[in-house]
Amino acid sequence: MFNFANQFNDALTIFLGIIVQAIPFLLLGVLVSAALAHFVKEEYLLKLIPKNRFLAVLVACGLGFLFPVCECGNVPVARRFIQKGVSPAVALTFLLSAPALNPVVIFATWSAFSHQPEVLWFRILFTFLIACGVGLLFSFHPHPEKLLVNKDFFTKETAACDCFHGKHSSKFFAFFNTVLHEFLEMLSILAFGAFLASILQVIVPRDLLLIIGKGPILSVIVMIAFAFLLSVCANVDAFIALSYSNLFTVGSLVAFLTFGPMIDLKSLFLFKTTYTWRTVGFVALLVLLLTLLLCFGLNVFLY
Amino acid sequence: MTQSRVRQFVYRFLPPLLAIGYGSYLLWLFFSKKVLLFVQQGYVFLSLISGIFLILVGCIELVHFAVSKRSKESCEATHEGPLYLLALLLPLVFALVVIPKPLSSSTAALRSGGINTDAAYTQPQHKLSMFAIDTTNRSIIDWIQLFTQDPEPDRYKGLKVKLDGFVMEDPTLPPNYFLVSRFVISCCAADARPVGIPVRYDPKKVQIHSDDWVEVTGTLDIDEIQQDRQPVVIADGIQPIPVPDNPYAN
Repeated sequence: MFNFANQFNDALTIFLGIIVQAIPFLLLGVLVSAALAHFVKEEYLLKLIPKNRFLAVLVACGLGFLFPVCECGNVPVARRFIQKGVSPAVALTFLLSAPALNPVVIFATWSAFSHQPEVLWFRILFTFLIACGVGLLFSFHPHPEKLLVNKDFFTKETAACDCFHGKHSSKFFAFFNTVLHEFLEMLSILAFGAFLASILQVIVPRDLLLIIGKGPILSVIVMIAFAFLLSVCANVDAFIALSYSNLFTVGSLVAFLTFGPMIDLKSLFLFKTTYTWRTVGFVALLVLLLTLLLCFGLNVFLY
Repeated sequence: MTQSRVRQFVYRFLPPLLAIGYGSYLLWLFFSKKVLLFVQQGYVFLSLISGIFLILVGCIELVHFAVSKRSKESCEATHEGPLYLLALLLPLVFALVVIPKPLSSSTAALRSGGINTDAAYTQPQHKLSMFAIDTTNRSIIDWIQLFTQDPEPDRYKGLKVKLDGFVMEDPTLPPNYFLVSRFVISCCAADARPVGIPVRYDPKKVQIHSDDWVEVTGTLDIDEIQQDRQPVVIADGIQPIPVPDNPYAN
């Protein structure tokens, strides 16, 4: 039943599936980012975000409602926030919360789990807690610019480069130039993540995950691993979780829906365009530990 | 071409051409209906919109070059290296060279752990009634939803079925059985889950192979498989069919 030709074909189908599915959402994110870059003044954006770090993190958690971008589209937006002067920690909170805490995803989760509304409530609560917690922790970093790959990654494109999109070209062309370059950059990284995910998907037997995935602790671990490997869009992950709802504990479903939108194979590489590997690794580890802790607690104490 | 010409091409013309390339690929997928191999029906129009948009973005950039009188050299140092642009050519080349196919039984075998338990939660394709007179228009997924709602196999005994799907040979079934299967997808091929209904057939009369697409006509009966009484299709006819436009069940 197994043959290499089939596996190669399936990997390609899964790979192109992720790409074709992600392109519209990536474009949406890039459009928002380019609009922010060319049509929104820094002051407006900074006025939106309070000076106090606690309040700032809280507001960042709600920004998903203003910019409903999933995890394919939120990185260019977050990067643009940073360029406009938002602190890297606040941008991180936005990165972690926006894919799950936005009207599209909440509606999708609600329609999938209307028979089990606690899954939605805990997804919202846990995403909020983790995104705020991680953002707050990083806001105490003494040198926030060290969290970033290159603190002036945009200046070279928007100011220093005077080839086409400097002061001489019109806003119209500059806008589409940003859209084009940012889209291609994000797509290339997405393609790499999708490539890894598609290879793993045709090699790792899912049965194995499901068989070991019983019990309040193991099920959470398995669903987190599953979310990481699957790398599906936050907009639809609720429907995928739904298909396992009769096999898995509530805590593990919430873990899948909380961890997946924050960290998965493709988003790790997308994060890397903005933050250093050190930061990305630390964030991933923190999110993992917090998700484990919260969902274990949910399984052990409530269900 | 001299080196600077190559560089100029890579930095200036490759990005818009890539956008136009990806846009055209999306449009081709849309109009050839091949996009259904990759994403769920509800997302198909998004690929049309993004295809058109990408082509537009690429063309605007080309027009930009045409009207811009800036020097040609100053751009090179200021953008990211061409590596990621070249990396983007790869998927496009693969996509064009390899003819896309639906997911196969190899992947189904990796995912069969929760077989059929998943499907109950997807949207029914037709209004289902336990009392329908003509039951041959029910799809694989319709039947599985019915079996999940009411698992008593006696209810289904004797009902006529006509099912199209791909052949999946399941080693846990006796040798004269196969599963007539479909993948269910909610978003894209990455989340596909297989569903299938066991079919009992006469291996002397019909030759079947994994991943063949077939239309199975027959009657539902009850067999005991692995100490479990379950509905199976007793095949009257197994006809090869071409791969349908939408090979998945949503």
